[in-house]
Amino acid sequence: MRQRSSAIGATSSLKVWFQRFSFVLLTIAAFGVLLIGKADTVMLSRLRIWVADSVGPLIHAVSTPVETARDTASDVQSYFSLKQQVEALQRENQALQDWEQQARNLRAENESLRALLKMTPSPRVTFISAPVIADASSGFVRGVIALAGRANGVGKGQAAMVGNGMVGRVQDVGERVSRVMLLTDINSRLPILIERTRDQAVLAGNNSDQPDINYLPRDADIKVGDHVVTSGVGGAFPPGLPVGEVAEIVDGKIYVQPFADLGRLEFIRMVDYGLPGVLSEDLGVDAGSQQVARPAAAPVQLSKPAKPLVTTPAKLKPAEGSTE
Amino acid sequence: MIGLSIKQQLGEWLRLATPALVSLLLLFISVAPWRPFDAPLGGSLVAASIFYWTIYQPEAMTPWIAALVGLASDVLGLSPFGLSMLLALIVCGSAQFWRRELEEASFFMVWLSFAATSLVTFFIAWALAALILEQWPDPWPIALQSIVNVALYPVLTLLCGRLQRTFD
Repeated sequence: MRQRSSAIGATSSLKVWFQRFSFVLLTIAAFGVLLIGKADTVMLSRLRIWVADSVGPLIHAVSTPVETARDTASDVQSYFSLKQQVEALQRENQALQDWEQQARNLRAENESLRALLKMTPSPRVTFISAPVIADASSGFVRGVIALAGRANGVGKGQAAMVGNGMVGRVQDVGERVSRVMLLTDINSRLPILIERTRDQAVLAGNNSDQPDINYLPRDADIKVGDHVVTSGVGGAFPPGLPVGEVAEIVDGKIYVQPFADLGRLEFIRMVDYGLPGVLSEDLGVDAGSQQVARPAAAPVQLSKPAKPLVTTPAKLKPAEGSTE
Repeated sequence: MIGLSIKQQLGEWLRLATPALVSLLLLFISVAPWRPFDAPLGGSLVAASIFYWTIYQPEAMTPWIAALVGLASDVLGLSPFGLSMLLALIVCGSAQFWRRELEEASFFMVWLSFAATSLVTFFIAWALAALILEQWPDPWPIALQSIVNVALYPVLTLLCGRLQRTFD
């Protein structure tokens, strides 16, 4: 009896001790977690994508009413400017028809020239479109979570695009969801080219809305409004993908405004250009070398039709497709 | 809980679970792909929720629960791993330290205290982020997050207060 009461006493005193020192213990634990996060990024990245995969449907369920409210507000706003929108669309349609005619002529010319040169066709480009279900951005990171994963053919390192430009790259891939690191993230580095001057540089994210250009040649003559495209250096993305335009130059620092509205992403396209890239499924090891060591981990080939997304609302159905 | 009917026990359990559930719900809402203030909310609503519940329902918002909610934010990828956990603990700790005074204080004083806590957490977050990322991040997005957080505190107080009264 005495033994039992002393055991209960020890347990309760341990409980009191834990309660009293819980702040200290938890603060030490938080610093420990900070250190682990800094040391083991691979484990962390796997944990994060596993959690995103698990809670993805829940996040989507919570964000749906918010999205509906946003869409309604946008609908009401656009209703009042219908006339202007129709006029603008008519002008755009006219311009696009001209471009289409030019594109047809160029394709025909291109095909005949390729046939003359017996040129090897460039790799097949395939893409998956998916809705953005979470804006995983804060003051520390810039990213989004899209409702398409390995099961749909998304692979790590693929380019994330919207209609008018590049958004970022696929950072982690889960079974059903994938995490995209935006161009504005502080860890994002993208080899770019200034379209007018052909100067190569690196676009570095800084967690603000406008990433800045690093490693530009000293004699480069950059002006506000210059278009920035991918340079293709590194082999992750092909050259010429539209990125943004030079927005301002402050104290020699050049800031770029991305063409894509990164704060209002609803759908994104994850594009596989069939390039080996610099990122693969594991450890960020060069894909080429890893293919030799582990053929099973070769980059995902999307030439086969990918498994379609299973989503009930018609709006969420992905537009899968491929372009040459 | 001894002597309570199943309905009462369920009600009590729900009352105790509400602060954690509300904080997690706010975390999920804050990652919805929508930016009402032209800046990412990035889990900022969670700090306000932790502050509120620590003052008015401390038995249900213990440091352990605050740490777990912060960790959930980290795992969702909203901050360097462990940072939100630490910030949640600071918010919970400061609310717990001043709890007796704040419980009796006017709403304006509580709001002011939350603003002061947010200012402190902003500086800690910025310094730690610089240490982890090995470069000085732009302070403005972090500051904006804190401002949004403080600005939304009255709305959150109103909602949480109503929710709390339903269990009383």
